Amino acid sequence: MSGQVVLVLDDEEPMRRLCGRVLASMGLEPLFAGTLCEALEKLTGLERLDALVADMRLPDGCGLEAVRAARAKFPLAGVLIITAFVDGDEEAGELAALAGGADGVLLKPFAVESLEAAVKCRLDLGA
Amino acid sequence: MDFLAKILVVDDEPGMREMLAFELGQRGYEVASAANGEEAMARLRAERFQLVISDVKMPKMGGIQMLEALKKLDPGVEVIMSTGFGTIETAVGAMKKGAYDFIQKPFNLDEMAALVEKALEKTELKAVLGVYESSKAVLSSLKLEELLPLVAGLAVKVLKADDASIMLRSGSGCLEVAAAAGLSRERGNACLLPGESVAGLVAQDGEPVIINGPLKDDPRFGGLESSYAITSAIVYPLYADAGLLGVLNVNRVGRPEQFTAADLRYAAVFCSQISQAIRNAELYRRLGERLKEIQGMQAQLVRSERLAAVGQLSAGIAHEINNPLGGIMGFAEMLLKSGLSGQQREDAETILRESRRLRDIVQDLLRFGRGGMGKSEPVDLAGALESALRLAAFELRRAGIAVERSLAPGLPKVRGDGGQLQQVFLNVVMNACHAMEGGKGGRLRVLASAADGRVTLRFEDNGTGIPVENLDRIFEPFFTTKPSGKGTGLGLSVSYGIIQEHKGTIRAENVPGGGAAFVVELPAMREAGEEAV
Repeated sequence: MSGQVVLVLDDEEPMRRLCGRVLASMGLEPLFAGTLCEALEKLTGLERLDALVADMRLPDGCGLEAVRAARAKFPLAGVLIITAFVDGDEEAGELAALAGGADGVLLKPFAVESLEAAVKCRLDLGA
Repeated sequence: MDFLAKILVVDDEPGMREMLAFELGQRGYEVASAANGEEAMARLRAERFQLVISDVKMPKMGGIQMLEALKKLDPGVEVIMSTGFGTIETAVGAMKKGAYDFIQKPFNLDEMAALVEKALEKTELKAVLGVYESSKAVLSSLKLEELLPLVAGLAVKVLKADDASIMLRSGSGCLEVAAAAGLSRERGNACLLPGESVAGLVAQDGEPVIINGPLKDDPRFGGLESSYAITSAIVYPLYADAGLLGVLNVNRVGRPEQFTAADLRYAAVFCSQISQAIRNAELYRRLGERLKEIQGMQAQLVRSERLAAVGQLSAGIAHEINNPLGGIMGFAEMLLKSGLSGQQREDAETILRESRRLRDIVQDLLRFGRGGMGKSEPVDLAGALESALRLAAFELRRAGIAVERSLAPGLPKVRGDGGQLQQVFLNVVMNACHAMEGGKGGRLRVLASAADGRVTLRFEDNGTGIPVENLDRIFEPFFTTKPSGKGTGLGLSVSYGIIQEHKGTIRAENVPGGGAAFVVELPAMREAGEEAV
């Protein structure tokens, strides 16, 4: 799976860096976006996307918009939502994410192994 | 039978006394006479007259002197002075000393009768007003237990009686003496059924009565014996909106003066005041109760408001904490994978462990804030209990606590969220665990039983118990007595919320001989097949 491109969208720099480290250790090529705007720009410019790892709650919008954009351009890419957005109901949040086109949801804080497993699963799905 | 006013004629001339006695007697008044001031005062001290017609010049004690003495004895009695030697000065002197009016001899009898009537009207009005005013002042008290003895005392004073009692209808319909004045204790404890004795009859018929002379001679109460020498009595019913409240008994004992129609009228004024006061006191009592209730509700409201605020905040707080926590935990994990030295490894493990603790706290908060019932499915309580004990096994073992189980076989299931209930049990067990920490011979008894459609679980420890002042607070969010870092203060309030959602109750109590017990009660599910849809 070398050279596979994964876009990490999260407004928190440490979270982006953590995901980046995990993905890189898996031999993937991580790209980063800190806002929805930035993510949409990156998606427009990209020629290949294998997976999107996106936060839901962003300063300039909802991560699901990026999911929609990614799905439109890269229908085979795996999409994983990572969120601490709970609002008292994980199930509803998860359903919303899945309805918005995500393949899976990972709740923050998550164990590194969970992220590894989830991304691997998405890539397999997308591949 | 009509009771008219009693008039005392004071004159040293027998002819004048006889003439007035006859004329006034013809007009329906009850007339007595005295030959001088001294004799008059003796009679006035012994019985009550509404009016005195007195000569001015008399041997032994003159009219003016008697007037002074009488006004001291009873300012309510009106006096008409009559004299053949009247001058303006004597008249003014008498009026100044409180005489009602002055009439010169020889007088026209019709003129005298008109004056008597006017004087009596004034007496009556004054007396009624006096009763009204004095009772109004006294009856402004709002506590029945203070009010009724005052009323009884006032009745004795105002009606010039020897004893008085107020009997009120009890819940069972009996008339019980609620307050008395001038009565011995035994008599003050009487209890009558409706229709029984005079008071009972008045309560039944609702009509006031005057009884003069021995009770057994009164045809209305044939056969009734009075237990003591009542010579005159008024029994008056007390009414309020809801009906009969009770009766007022006023008695004169062992003396000849009898109650008159005027006294009955005073009693009427008085009783309407008592009724009003009892009503007010009752309203006041109800107001007090309502107020207490409202205060209680307010406290409850403040509590639930606070809980709601915590709930609303917790989701936001959880989000804010979980994000950085994700980073901390993730990087600690990454560090652990990067081949650290022994000490570094230990440090990174500490970071990870503490982060996980933080995550658990946030989860507690979230669960607390979320409220609402999770799943609704049949839950086997014994199973949930066992898994909670399994989760706590390490802590229990570490603290050297022995667990004793006493679960009734065939415990019915309850409807709800097994995970949530398990969490409650775990919280309670961990709480007991902390309470017994450091002690020796810690023992946790878990009892489960079912009765009357409810399942009861009792967790009893032999730890330090709960200080009485904390018993009410331990279910409050963030209330903790554990040292800083040992507990979030949320476990029990989360448990409280969960049990409430399950329509159950959870309470804490101290066990005699030391230790605390948490009691969880949940509605049992009915057997399959008969469960209501």
